[in-house]
Amino acid sequence: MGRGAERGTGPGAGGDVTRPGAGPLAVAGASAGGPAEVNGSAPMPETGSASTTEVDASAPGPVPDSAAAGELGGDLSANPDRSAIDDPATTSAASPRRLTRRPARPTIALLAATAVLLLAVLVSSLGGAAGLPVLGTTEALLDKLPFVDIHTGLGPVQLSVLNEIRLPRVVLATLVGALLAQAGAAYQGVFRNPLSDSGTIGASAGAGMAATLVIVYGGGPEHTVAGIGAVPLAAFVGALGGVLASYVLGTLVGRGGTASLILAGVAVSSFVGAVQTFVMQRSTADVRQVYSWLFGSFAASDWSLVRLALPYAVISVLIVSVHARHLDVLALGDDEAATLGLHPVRTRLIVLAAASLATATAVAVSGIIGFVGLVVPHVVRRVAGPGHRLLLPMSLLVGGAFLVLADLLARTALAPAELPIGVVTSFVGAPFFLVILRATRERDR
Amino acid sequence: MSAVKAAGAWVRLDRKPILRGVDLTVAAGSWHAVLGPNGAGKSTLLKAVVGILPYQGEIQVGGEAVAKLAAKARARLIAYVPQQPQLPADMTVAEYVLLGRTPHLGYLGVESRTDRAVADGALERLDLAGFAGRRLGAMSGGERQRVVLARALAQQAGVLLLDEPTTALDLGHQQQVLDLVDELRSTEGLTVISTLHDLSLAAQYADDLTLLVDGAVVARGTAREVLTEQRIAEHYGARVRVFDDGAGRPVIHLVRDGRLVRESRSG
Repeated sequence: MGRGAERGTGPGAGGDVTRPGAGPLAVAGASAGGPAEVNGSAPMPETGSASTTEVDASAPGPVPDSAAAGELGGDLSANPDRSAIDDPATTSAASPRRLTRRPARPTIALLAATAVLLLAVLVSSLGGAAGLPVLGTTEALLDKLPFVDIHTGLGPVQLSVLNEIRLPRVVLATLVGALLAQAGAAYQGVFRNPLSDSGTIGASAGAGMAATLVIVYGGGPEHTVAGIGAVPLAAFVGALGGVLASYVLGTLVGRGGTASLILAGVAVSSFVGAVQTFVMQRSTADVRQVYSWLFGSFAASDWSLVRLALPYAVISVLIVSVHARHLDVLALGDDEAATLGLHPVRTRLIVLAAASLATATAVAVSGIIGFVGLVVPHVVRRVAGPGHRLLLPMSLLVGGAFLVLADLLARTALAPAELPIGVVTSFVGAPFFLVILRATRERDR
Repeated sequence: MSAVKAAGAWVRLDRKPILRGVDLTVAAGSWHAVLGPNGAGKSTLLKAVVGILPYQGEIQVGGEAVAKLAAKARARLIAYVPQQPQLPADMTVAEYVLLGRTPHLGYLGVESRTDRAVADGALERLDLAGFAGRRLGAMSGGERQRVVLARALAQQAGVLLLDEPTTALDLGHQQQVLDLVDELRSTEGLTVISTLHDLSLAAQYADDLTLLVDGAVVARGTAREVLTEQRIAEHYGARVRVFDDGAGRPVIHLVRDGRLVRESRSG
């Protein structure tokens, strides 16, 4: 299955193709929405494409002559206006309505990421003990699309393997990966801290402790409350509780700034972690179960879990996405954001709540899966730039693809045994992350 | 007509008074410099005027009480450039300048053609059109200050607050930035309030000055009225000579300790 894993790095590879475009102009618009295409394909396609190449050329590497001349002239004469007028090349090359015309690159990046995700879903649906045929499975997947009706060559057993075992698992992994990655991007934006993820503000720790308590004292995973498993429920409540505790404490201790929130999150996490460790070492019989939950797994996936998670996923993704530009403004710091008409504390609270809802949902159906929320946004940022209007949807797509493929590896690498998914994400993800960092390192300069 | 007016403005941080009943009157279209030794409350005054610090007393911009304005309405009236602006290294110049349009956008923050055109104009106005696709991290100090000014200009607010706009700039770039601000002030009709460390620069560019010491105004007026040798000695604890530059604006020179001068000459 090594090849599957290689293709698993597809999100990066696909993204890499679009990388040169992720230079200046693509990022300039940073948004993918509707008007983009209208403007992009606007009146004069010739001028449009000409100015695109112009800008691309000026992108990463050496400064184009005209700009350098302009800069130099400005420096020497201390009169930037004059130098610009003296040098007609500067004005004509630079001006053609750079911002008025929206770039098409974000759309390309999103389409590429979508294609990668779909491919990952297909590959992951194929892989496994039952040996489903490629063509039939593809047809069966297409058949599921609305308005598409294809007769598949799959037998009833194969169909039921696909529908009842593979697909729920694949869908759930996609969902969880997407949620974790977007939540990570949101946390990093809200805290203006690249090391933030769901662990930063107590979500993971809260979920871990609550789940441990239920496994040890509450009758274990078989126990249900109103038809919902007790462990997912506890994890959900625990994650939100951890965030709430961190937020309240951070606001009480500081002024609601990012530093005090992060520090409160650290305090809450280590306190809660201590409780969890204490409970675990008191009842060694349950440790195995606790551990298997702590490292995450999709082994128990079925459609009911998908149905359980979906409403929360949709709500949280919508709320976070709506605030994409707010996060861009927040990157300037609270003071400057406030002078631009934003309410930094309120925005932070809303986005934190939504991201934590996403995390809680993900943790509830899959256990704690590290790395995705931390690293996927970074990889995407390297490719798509820091603007959240592209970063957030790209994180959804790439995060979903990454986790689907990680899960494929988790269930096939040592088949019939399963690896904990958290082990796979880190084991495969960490080297991959370093490769991405190296491949895009000119951005650091 | 006064664009900005403060009367008896108090600001307390952690119950400690930072501003103690400051009065300020800035005429529309003028350049007003706020001076004072370190810790006098200059930055605090700007932050109170732009509405990011709570204050008691009266502060009005364009005839409206700052504290009563909604954040967006306020941001359409006043633009603010902090002493050390946050410039996310991976953001491009164009993206950054476009953020200046925030107060003119709806909740979803979708920029219209007009918003892009305004940002374009700001870029061109500050001779940054060729830099639109550059990462902020790759800009030099002087360029960065211009980029921040472009963002403030894109905000299309009538009042521009600058907190130490020349810190960390070399001599030529100091002059370039201040000339630029002066030009924007006259062509765009902006009202400018800036804090400035350099008294001679303040005297050169500002129409009126306010000298702030320990959170209270100790002098206000033209440069010639405010910047006297005696006052500077008293409030800055500095030995200076004040000359006239020939155009009626004072020039302030630091003077070396007389005893040491004699020692070094004899030694």
